[in-house]
Amino acid sequence: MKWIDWVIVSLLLLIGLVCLSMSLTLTTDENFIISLLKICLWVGIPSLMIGLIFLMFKRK
Amino acid sequence: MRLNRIDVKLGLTMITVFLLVFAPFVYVIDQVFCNYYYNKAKEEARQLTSNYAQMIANNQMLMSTPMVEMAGNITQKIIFLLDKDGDMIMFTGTDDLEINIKEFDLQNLFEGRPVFYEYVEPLTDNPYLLYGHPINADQFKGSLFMLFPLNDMYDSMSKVRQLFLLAGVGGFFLALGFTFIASRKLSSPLLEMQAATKKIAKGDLNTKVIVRSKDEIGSLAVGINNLTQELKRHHDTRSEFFASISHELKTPVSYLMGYSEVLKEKLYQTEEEKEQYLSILEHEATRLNSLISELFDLSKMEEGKFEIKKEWIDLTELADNLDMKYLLKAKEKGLSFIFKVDENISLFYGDGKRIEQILTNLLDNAFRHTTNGQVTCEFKQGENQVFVIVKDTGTGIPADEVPFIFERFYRVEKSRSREFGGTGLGLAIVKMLVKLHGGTIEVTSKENEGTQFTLSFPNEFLKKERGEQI
Repeated sequence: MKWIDWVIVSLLLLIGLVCLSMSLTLTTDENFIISLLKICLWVGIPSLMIGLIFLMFKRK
Repeated sequence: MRLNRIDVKLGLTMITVFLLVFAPFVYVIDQVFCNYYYNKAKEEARQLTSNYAQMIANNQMLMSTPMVEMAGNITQKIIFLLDKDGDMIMFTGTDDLEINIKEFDLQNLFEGRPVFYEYVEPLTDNPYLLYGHPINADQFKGSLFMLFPLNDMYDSMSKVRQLFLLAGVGGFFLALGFTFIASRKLSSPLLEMQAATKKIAKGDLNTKVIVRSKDEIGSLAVGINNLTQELKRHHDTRSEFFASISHELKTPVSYLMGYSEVLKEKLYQTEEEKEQYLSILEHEATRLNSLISELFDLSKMEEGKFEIKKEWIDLTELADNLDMKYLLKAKEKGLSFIFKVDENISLFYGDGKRIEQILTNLLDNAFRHTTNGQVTCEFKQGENQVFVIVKDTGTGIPADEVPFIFERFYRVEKSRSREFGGTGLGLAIVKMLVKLHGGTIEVTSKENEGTQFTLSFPNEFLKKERGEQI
């Protein structure tokens, strides 16, 4: 992937995360940053798990 | 951006699949959410109206009415009471509220059935949930109505819907980002291979595809690399073939031209010298002739136009002929020649002339490359095959050259020295003839130790004895 592709991907992911965080912030009393971090965690944990499973299969 | 690209198609497919799943999911969630709150409000209205109606029915209507009115004012619910004739006797709403109850609903209440519907107030167009309950003590005394404003609920729903939509848009963008990465990562090996094959098609045969995985895409990359190598080898072999054929034809022709010129100009001094030149001319002409014949045969074999005439051959007889022929040669070179034939060897179904040609080519090579030791030829009877083994204790073939010895004009001895002779087509012809007889040929060789050719032919005699079709 070229650097421009990474820029596009980062933008898309950022827009997605901000939209989700906004939605969460408007329904709860939470701070926007806390919401953003929580959503990042929800994106990160499955990604980490899938990555670990993938690496495990690759090693086998 | 070009749409006709594999990564774009892959990305669009993923997004389409995502939307196909996401759209109905969102619709269902919205419906579940809205209906849940609407039903909850409806149940609450029913319960409250029923309770108030029950309370009024249990107490004296006139006594209970002020209590209900007070409760309505406190809870800010619009409650109104109709007597048995349908006249309003109590109303907790404001004057700008117009209430029209249909005759049909009054009839239902009179008959003891509660009524429920969404009522749109004609003056303000505000929606209300209207619930009417009959007040029955011993007989029908009137009916209690409650109006629950739906505006607040609809506003809340709309707000939640907007937040859902915002979260949905966020989810869509996240999916778009991950799809972008996935489609690029999945298609990049294919795009690399496409670029490589383009380069290969343009003639850059040194192009290699990087093998990144061991899956189907990885094996495709390995396949492309193997094909490129094979193509390069064919390309090189073809160039080498033309160089070889020019060289092989040019050498005898040069001899013929040179010596015929000498003879024509009478440049010899003795009659003996002239005889020697004539003998060279004859040898070179024979060599040229055999080279052309072998080339012709080989090209016919490769085109599949070469026919072999199969018949039953006695291998013992063939062995005797070859033994006689090569014993003399072995004696001349100071080698020992052993010809072994199994006692129980069966008749062989093949083209006698071509089988002899195979053995002659192999034995000629064996004698050519053996300076001391022995050359052995063996006919061996296997269970379902007949084996022919030609073995020598000659110079042997380097391991890295073994795979190429059956190629046309391939020589282990690269200088093309005339010391070893041969046309360079012998083994190529042997391989083709063995193949035409349905057999296989294997070679094992060690440098400075010797070479062994093992030919395996199907035992057609066994089939004949079994009565099978040959």
